[in-house]
Amino acid sequence: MSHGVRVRDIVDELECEVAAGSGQLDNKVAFGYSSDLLSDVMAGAGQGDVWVTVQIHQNIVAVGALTGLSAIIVAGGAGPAHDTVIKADDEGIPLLTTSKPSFEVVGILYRMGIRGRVRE
Amino acid sequence: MRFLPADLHIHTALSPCAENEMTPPAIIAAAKVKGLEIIGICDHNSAENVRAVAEAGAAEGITVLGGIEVQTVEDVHVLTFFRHPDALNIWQEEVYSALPEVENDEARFGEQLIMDSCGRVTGKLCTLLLCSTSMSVDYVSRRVSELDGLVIPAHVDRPSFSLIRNLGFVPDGLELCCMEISRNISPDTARTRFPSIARFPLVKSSDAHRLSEIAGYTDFFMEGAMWDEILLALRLAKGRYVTPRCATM
Repeated sequence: MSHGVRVRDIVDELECEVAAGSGQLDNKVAFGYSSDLLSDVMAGAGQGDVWVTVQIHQNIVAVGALTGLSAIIVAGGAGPAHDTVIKADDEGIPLLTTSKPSFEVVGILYRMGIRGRVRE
Repeated sequence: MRFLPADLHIHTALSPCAENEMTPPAIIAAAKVKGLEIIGICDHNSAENVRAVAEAGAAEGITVLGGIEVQTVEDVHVLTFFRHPDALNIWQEEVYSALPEVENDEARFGEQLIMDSCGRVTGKLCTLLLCSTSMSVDYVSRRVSELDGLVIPAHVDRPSFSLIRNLGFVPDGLELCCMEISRNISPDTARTRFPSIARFPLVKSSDAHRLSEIAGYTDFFMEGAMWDEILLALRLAKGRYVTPRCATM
């Protein structure tokens, strides 16, 4: 976790939109996690992780809050549902959106020095 | 009041993944052998065989709830049933218009057969039914309620196409009265393993894709096989209730 990346750096590097949580862009990033099954994220991601998904349902915010994520990146160009954005602002979780597909996003994060969280 | 054995989740030969032996008369015959009084017909994203099974069921005294197993944009499977056949027809068109235009590859996925109540093939559906619609689970819940229908998240204990697996837990704001568990799990185990479903009544269904899988995993305790009675039982109201059987088969 010596990469020192903050959410703000990801926004710059991905050139993505900040749909919610713009006040929390100084969050430090721990590891990365990529999955579209929310139960899998709840079981596998951890405090400070950045999560890449194509899911836009409001439950992604609850999962983010529960897990203590530093940011959620909605990839693939699907705009998050309105209630998802509201909820993310309420919870203070940065919700980033990009038209880049998940694979590209993960590649860019990896190039920035972020590594995947490996389950024990 | 009395117990009525039910299996609310049965596919017909219209679902490409179901066997072609799942004809309306064969389904009714199998239901009769198993002592079922109520069955639900829920093909993937389509209701084209509902009327045929309902006709076959009426002749044998078996009540058929017509529905569709919708695949939402989150890859979640939900059973949708309606009080009126007209509402099911409206819903059918809306589901079709929310499906991508992908043609079925019969060799790979199986045939999608439309049948009459005698089991004669009257047509084939070309659009592949095994796709996600563009509708969210929230939208489906809202719209089905508007159409005086009922939404039951399907096989929530399964590792795929399940509300719990895909969305982590039961989202707020859905108009749900009960949850369906698969035949592979007991109600107690399901409630322990998935705490967010513990507050819901459970129904257990076969999700039959072949005749031998049809079975009564759930009993309704109520006056008779009418829509309003079924709703009361699913809500555990006015002395009516549903009770899933413990044994896994």
